[in-house]
Amino acid sequence: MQGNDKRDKAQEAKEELLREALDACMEEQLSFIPPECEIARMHTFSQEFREYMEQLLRTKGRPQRRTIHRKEFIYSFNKVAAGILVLLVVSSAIAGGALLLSKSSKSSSDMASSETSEAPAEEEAIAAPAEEPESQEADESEAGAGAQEPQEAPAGDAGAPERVEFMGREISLADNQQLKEKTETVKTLVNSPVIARDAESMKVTIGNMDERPIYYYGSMDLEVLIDGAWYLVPPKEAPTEEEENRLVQLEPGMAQDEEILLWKYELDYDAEMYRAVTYLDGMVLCSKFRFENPEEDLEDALEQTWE
Amino acid sequence: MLLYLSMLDTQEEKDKFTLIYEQYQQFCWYVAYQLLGDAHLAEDAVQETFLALTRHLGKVEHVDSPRTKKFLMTIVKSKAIDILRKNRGEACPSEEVGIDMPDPSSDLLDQYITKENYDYLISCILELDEAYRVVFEYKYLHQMSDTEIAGLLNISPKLANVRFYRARKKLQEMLEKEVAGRAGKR
Repeated sequence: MQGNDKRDKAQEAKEELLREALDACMEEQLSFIPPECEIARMHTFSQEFREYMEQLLRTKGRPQRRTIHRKEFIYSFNKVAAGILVLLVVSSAIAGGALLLSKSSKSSSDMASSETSEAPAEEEAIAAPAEEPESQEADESEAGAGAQEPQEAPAGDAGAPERVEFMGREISLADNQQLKEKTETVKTLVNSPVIARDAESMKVTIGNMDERPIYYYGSMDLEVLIDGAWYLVPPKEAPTEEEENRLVQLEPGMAQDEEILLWKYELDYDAEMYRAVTYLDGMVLCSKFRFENPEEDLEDALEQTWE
Repeated sequence: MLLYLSMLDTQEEKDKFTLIYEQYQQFCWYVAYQLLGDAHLAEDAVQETFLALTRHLGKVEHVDSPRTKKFLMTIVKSKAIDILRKNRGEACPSEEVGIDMPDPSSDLLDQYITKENYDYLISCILELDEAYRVVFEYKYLHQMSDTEIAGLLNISPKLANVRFYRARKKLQEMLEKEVAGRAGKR
């Protein structure tokens, strides 16, 4: 034991000597460096450099474009939703007008001619746009997790109540109803689309297939689907500011797991569907999951066996 | 959940960062310029330095202290070396993993670190390649872990360890020569 102590002390003494020598060398290096004011006369920083550093100083290390407030996300999404709504209204008004025109011309021509005319091809053409929203919905649901996609409220759905009761507390309608799971460059995925009821946590993997790094907020939202609309499930205790603001940088071609601690939430395991919402650079993505339902799952398994 | 996602850290940290920048920007540029010999590349090294500093701000206790200046000097040197390597088209650090790590059992550096050899030690460190010197500085002067060093050098902790042992071996060889030369003179 004493031998070991002696060896440790000797080792420490040698490290201390090396440290002293390194420090002395550094002092010597420093002695050759002129004062700041003199260097300032030698060199003026470029505009590019100053701009970069201003940005760095504002955000203490992260580019400003990454500082996206959730309000901005919501605002952007609302703008997009409003744009789509305006387009739909305009196009339906045009379609409706055309329908009225064709009907009036048809009825006038009907009155003028015999009643044995064939169904006009125009009507079929006009009827087609009415089917478009369905195909649009189908496209959007393709971005969803599984084949058993429940019916969701469209963005800005006026029908869904703003607040509903959930597990003995009132929860609010989620700001973004229609969310994608992936884009061409970023993907989010839950570790399993069906989570065990006794699971204490679950993982969401965020994959960056872009050629540049992306940033996302490690703190995710949990939302539940109630009567076709998504509602925000708040945790039992509000997260700390540090937790809330944790920003993660994800390098190109990399994937990162983020854990959601399920015990932090009051959950209804029989709810139709949940989703984990991730806030990334200028976009919001979600990954859907549900909790296991022993009876239903058994029935499904039996059905599959019979098939 | 709060609606805002503000990414700003504490005001105290922000102030510290700003103060460090204001006080040492020219100094950092000069150190980088000495190594790179190019004003524009030196600016790049300074940017990299302050970006790295944001992740290690906790290491800075007092903005004005000589320790802070030395810490910045090591970072800026390592960033400049990194730029130099890239510009020279030297092997990507990750490729270095394939090269054998010096056998730690053959590490006899401690034998040469004695009070009698102190002057030789100084002259050897001054002659030591900067790439090795910064590893020593991070490790012994700034008391950083392999993982922290790896993060600052943009390499894996394993490679950081390889570099550390290589630096030790190089210093050992230099000291061996010095000591042998002294013995020969006698």
